[in-house]
Amino acid sequence: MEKAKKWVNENVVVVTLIVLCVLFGIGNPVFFSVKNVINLLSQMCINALMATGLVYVIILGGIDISVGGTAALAGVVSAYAGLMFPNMNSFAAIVILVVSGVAVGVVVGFLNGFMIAYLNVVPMICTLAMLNITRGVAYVITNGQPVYGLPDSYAFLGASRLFKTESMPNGILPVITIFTVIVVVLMHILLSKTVFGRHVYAVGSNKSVAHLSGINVKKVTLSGHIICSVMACLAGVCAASKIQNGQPGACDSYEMYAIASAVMGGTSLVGGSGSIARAMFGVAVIAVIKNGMDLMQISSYWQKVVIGVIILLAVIVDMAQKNKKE
Amino acid sequence: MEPILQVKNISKVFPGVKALTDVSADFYPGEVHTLVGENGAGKSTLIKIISGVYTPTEGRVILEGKEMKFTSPGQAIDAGIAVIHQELSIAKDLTVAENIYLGREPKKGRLLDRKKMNQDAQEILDFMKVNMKATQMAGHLNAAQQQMIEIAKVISKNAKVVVMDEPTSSLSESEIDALFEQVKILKKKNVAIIYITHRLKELTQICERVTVLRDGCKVDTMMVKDVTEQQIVNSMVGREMGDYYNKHEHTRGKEMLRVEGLTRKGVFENISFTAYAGEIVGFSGLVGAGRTEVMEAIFGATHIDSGKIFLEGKEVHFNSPIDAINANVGLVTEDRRRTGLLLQKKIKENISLPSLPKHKSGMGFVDTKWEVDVAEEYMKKLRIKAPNIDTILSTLSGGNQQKVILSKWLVADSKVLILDEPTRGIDVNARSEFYTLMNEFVEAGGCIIMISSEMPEVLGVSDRVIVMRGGKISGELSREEANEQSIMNLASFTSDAE
Repeated sequence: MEKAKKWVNENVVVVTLIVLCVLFGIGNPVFFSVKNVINLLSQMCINALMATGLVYVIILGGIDISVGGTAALAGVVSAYAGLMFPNMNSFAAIVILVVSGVAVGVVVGFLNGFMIAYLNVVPMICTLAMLNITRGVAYVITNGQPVYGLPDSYAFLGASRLFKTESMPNGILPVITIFTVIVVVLMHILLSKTVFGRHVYAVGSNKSVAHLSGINVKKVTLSGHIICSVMACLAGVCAASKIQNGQPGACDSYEMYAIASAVMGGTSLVGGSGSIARAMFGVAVIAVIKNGMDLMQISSYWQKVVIGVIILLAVIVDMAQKNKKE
Repeated sequence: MEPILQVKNISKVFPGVKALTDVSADFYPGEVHTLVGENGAGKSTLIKIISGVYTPTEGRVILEGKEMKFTSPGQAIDAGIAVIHQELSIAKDLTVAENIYLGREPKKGRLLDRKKMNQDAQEILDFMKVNMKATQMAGHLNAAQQQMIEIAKVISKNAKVVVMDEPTSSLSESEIDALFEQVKILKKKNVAIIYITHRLKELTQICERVTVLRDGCKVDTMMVKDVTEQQIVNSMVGREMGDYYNKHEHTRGKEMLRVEGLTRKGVFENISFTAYAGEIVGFSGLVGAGRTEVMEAIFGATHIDSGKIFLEGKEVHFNSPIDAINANVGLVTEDRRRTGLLLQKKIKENISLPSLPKHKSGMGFVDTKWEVDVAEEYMKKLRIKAPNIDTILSTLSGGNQQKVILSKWLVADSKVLILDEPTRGIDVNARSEFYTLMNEFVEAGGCIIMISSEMPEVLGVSDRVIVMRGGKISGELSREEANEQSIMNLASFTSDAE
């Protein structure tokens, strides 16, 4: 009994997830259907990519709230790029999407990271400003209109599914899920198993100690922000691919979900600890809430409130555990 | 005379460990009563019970004849028990005066009476003969100066019982003298002082009574004038212990580190010295003389305006610590909790940190097998007392934390080790072990530069002593020439100084 209690205390987010699944399953049994589960897996992906990037930055002791705008900008840029190649096949489309995403991500991430690490701008302010700038630029270059007219190959990444069968003519396995799993796993390995990842944790734990241990704190911080923005951009291009057009207003408020997922997954806002694997549970919680409430036909206004409340509860419980430990 | 504070039959049990067993002691007004004992002996637990942080599992705390049942530190403070902690709790973004009167600011009606606050604070500082302005920002002061603020705080509170937990560990000789002047004044005011220190020399200077704790039990309470230092040490460790500096004769080897004309405007000027393999060079001087700053600059953590550094005869430029580390130089900083360790991380993660890049496998992956092997090797070699290599650093004692830091640099293949106050806050036994490790290091051909403000340590351990004063090197003494007087002459400002 003691051991079970201890496990529950250390894995609040997992417990929350299970409880929510049960509740929503009772609310509408369709929740557990194969179709819905596949839907869920697909819906989680965009936030999963974004949250993965956020984990790096939060471990470093900073924050990045510009990710929503950055994602939209990447979506729009990739749509324009896609329009230049109307005859591209699915594979080429993926390449174009990823390359545009990475390009935008590197630029924005570099700007964020440089200002934060080298010019000592407070991360909250810097990324808040960048949120406005990226979102603004997206609107400017599109004149507020969606970028449409993209070939179907463009939607392969975001909307297609593999393994079409008779009972599932649309396919079983969403391509976006495969893509997300690959990227997230790679980023997880980078963070948890490489020297760079250790440096990220060290800088987040204690900058002075990291510096005196020979770590280039500024460089690591810059890299972290570039990773975060690139991940946000990959999320953004996936979102654009999903609806087959680039919307300047896409990914609105996604930064909140991404940060909430990371924090629910135990990534401490003071830095130095956290993991991508656990953040994915946070991502799952949010996806389940949204999906479950959709199935129960709860209005989206209420959804916003409910999500906020559940995030607060999960974090408060988590903090209480941490304080008890000390 | 009646004791003002008594602890009777105090026991304290934590899950899995009995920290105190049936400890009783009396504290008299106007007297300094010192608690000595190794780390883990129970001194800090006893203090925390007296100051209301813990409640005793058994036993009573009696203040002025009345039994006290403190359930919070605030209650103890209100009852007149003030504590100066070893870990400074100074608000860096407030001024000295604001720190002294934090929570008790003088008011004019409902508004803060800043003028009175600054005046009163300055009075206390002047009284303490500390060269500090009440309006300075506390964050700009160094550790020693911040501790002066803590002492000023307590003086301003007019407490009945003052607990001082290793107050001198960051102080220079002259500041310690100033502190002892304050202690004498407090004694005249009939304040009972409970003093904790590892520096046994201080016992004869300032205290009347000493209680020795060992493994949570009281071994004895003695009057200082009736016992020798050796007797106290023996009580603390429970056996006969010889001269714990373990000094051996070393043969000096080749030139390892040479600095010429190192200057940083306003901090240090024209620093030149040479350190050789096989020797421990002691760096003495008053706090604020610039020793730490010189070493941080040599290590590449801060910049220099001019000057040259030579490693094993070849000129080097350390633009950042990574350069120094790659050149096999290590720095053990003066504040291990703030700048020495990742407190929330495991032993093995701390030990491997500077050496990770040198032990990469494949595409930048951490060599986890190497990390485990090397951590276990050094835990054994340095006799680090901890459950295993995955233990979190914050749970270790000061002495063991320091050993982890030393392991870190040994694993990084350091040939030159700069130690800044390496045994601060560490008990007798652990210190002795540390000195042995230092000797082993130099006997194997390493070179140690040790900054220390503790005279007996400098005299006991160094092969020669370099003294700094006001940012410059004022002199060098051989082991034979070095004694308290000669060092103090070089360290202090006198009328013949420049």
